Amino acid sequence: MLFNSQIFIFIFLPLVLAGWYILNHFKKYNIALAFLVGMSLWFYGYFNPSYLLIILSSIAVNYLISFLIKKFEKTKKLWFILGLLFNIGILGYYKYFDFMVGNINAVFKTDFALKHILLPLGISFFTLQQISYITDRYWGSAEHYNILYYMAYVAYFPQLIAGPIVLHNEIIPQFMDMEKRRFNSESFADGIVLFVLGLGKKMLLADTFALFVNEGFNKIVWIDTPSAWLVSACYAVELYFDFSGYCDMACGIAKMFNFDLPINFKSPLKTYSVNEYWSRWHITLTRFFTTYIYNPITMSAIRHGKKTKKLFRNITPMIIFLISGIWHGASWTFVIWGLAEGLGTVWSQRKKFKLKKAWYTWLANMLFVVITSAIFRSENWDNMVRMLKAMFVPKFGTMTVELCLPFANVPEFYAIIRAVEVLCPQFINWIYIILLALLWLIAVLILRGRNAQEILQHQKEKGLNMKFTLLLSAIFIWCIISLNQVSTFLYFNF
Amino acid sequence: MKISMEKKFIKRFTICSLVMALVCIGIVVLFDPFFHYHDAVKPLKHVLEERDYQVAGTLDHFDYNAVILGNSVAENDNNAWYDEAFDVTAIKAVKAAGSNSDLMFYLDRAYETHELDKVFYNIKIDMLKYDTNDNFAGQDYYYLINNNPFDDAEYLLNKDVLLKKIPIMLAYSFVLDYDEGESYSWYRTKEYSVNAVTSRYEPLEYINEARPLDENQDFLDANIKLIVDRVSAHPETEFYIFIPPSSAVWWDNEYREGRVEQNLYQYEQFCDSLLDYDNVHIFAFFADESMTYDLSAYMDSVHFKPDFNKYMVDCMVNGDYLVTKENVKDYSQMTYEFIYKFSNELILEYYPNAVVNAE
Repeated sequence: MLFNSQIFIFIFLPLVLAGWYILNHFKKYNIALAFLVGMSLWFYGYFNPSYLLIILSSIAVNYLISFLIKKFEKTKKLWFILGLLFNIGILGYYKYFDFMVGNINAVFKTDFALKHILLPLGISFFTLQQISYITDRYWGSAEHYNILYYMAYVAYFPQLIAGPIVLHNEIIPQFMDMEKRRFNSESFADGIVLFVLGLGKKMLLADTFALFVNEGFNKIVWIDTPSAWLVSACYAVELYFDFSGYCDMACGIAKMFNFDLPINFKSPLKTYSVNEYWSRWHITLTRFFTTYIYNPITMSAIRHGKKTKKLFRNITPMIIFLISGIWHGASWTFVIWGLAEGLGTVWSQRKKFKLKKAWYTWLANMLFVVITSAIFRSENWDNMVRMLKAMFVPKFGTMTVELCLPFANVPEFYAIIRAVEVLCPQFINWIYIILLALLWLIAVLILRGRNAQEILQHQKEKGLNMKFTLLLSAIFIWCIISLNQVSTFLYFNF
Repeated sequence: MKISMEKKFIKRFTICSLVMALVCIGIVVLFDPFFHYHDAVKPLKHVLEERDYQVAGTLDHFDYNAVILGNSVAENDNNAWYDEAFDVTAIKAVKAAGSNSDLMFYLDRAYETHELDKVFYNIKIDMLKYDTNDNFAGQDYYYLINNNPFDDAEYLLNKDVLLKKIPIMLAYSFVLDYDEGESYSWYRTKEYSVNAVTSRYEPLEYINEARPLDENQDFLDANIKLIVDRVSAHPETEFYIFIPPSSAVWWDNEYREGRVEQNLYQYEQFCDSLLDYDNVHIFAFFADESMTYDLSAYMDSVHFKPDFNKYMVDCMVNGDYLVTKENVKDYSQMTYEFIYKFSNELILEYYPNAVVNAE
């Protein structure tokens, strides 16, 4: 189920909130938690119930590992390694099997069959979350929880599909705190604000930018240099609005339950270096890699002496971003993307390379973001090469207007475009360019302003006044009407 | 008791959102571009551009006494041709790639609210072998077809309806020219030429044996029954059932697949069952050699210029190509002969390497 769907907004969310608060009101705390888990599983299995088996098996095995670590303290390393292998194995099978087989076939000229396995929703997220838990169990910094609490930790629906990657000690204590089970109007109001702002970012901005980006990548063979830069820049913005919008919605929904999820984005497009960017983009993923990979490697390096420490300071980010790249997707483009981000991070971490916070360092950083976004978005190696070549080998044309043509189907633009087509068709190309510029203007104003969390704080200080309420309601209803559209049936495929 | 800022916000947000939603709903109900609730409010015109979303509403709420049933080839009909020729008020009930059962569903819908003097049914010859289940459930627009008021939210709170369909309805009603008779037509943007047809068709490299005539007998009987049931239930309605032409390349494909005799057999069975009824008039336009051979009038193997649509109306008025019990087989024979000639001789003009029957 998606947050931006009618069934979620009008049926699932009201139902789960009502059930949760009613059961807790009557002090049926365990039943309330079981209800939350059950509803979360419905949320997860909505599109494909068979995936429930995967998440339930994953929960069961990790919980068993946690139990074995508790029961057989002396052999806890063995259980931990087995747990790690299980998690990496399940992710490897579902996410990387075809990628590996494809590479083996390419290198050894073999003909092993691909399985075309569909990636279960959210598997990358709940697997990392459970790796963090069993690692903490192995380190002795986590207790073995009651099964219901553990299931709620993994399956809690706001963070289940696309993060943020929550640690057990962030959410389970909140589940255990019965004071938090009461309806809290302050938290609920915060939740509404974050949810609506996130919904708006996703549906009104990201989805509109996506039209231009998708058209650009569909026509990548003919793309010219200005269009290639524009498409990549649009993708960087689309990805930010899409992912941060989703995370705002997740935090907002959790707030409606009076729970807090960790913040995942802090205006990363305002940063001046790659290093700073990664400290503010997908923060919980960076935290995972820092806590569970970077720190252990660094500690090990420290134990091995000063020289090794220096060497590892440079190599570790490369390893982490390589893993991060592969985690994002099974393709060589993600490997290249990871290497590029790793190099960028190592470079911007150098002591000699202290960047000034000036417009040109911001611009340089954004150019890096745009280039890496082009790599990240490319579906395969050939397209990545095409896009980078178009960006760096000058080629000029009028492709940009052509890539704007899908705007003709955007309801908000429809009347303007049809009117110009009829009244002054000679200006139609200009209208498309003006609409793209308008979209960018809106995006820049939003990106330069406060982020969702800051808007919430600011508006609370101002008393959540009527003007803000009206604006928020308008965004909400605008998103609601955007959920329904008319499909024009292109029966004649010509 | 002092209400907290947050409680006040939640209350205000809920009220504001409800009011805004109600405003959107009110606008959609008032203009109702899919005519789901009522006929067009005067002076708005009947702007019909979204066939699947609008047919059910127009059947329920428009004022008419004749329907034009058919699939994509009927969409370029102009209602006014029928109105003038047969002194009726006709509207279209069309569905692209629609089956006989889909169209019978629309016909039943029309009978639920209207008395019909005439039904003009443009039925392609191969439609008689399709499945007889209608195909509406599960479609994106099903909320406009069913009687469930709760799923109307998809229509009432719909950005495309508010920002595209209503403005276009207003523009065509007050600013732009709009011919209400040309509902759902698409011919203006298409290219009709020999090249358009031949670029979309490649003859198979084999010629199959003729397939068994009764291969689809169950579907054929079921489809005939669907029509016979309506014809017999409504003796007050005159049914003009006409089988439109298809291009010679469409028939060529049928010939190479061994299905020509089967199609003609289906037509004969169909006529045998329906010609027993006085209120049925069947016209066999597929047997018109000139329309079949004129590839320049097609945009692909089946879709022809509106000139053919008009020509068929004129023929029906004059009684040309009218099928009777006596001449049923004559049309089959004529058709078979000119198809055979095309697929074994004339086709070489367009496809010099096409496989032909040496005999």
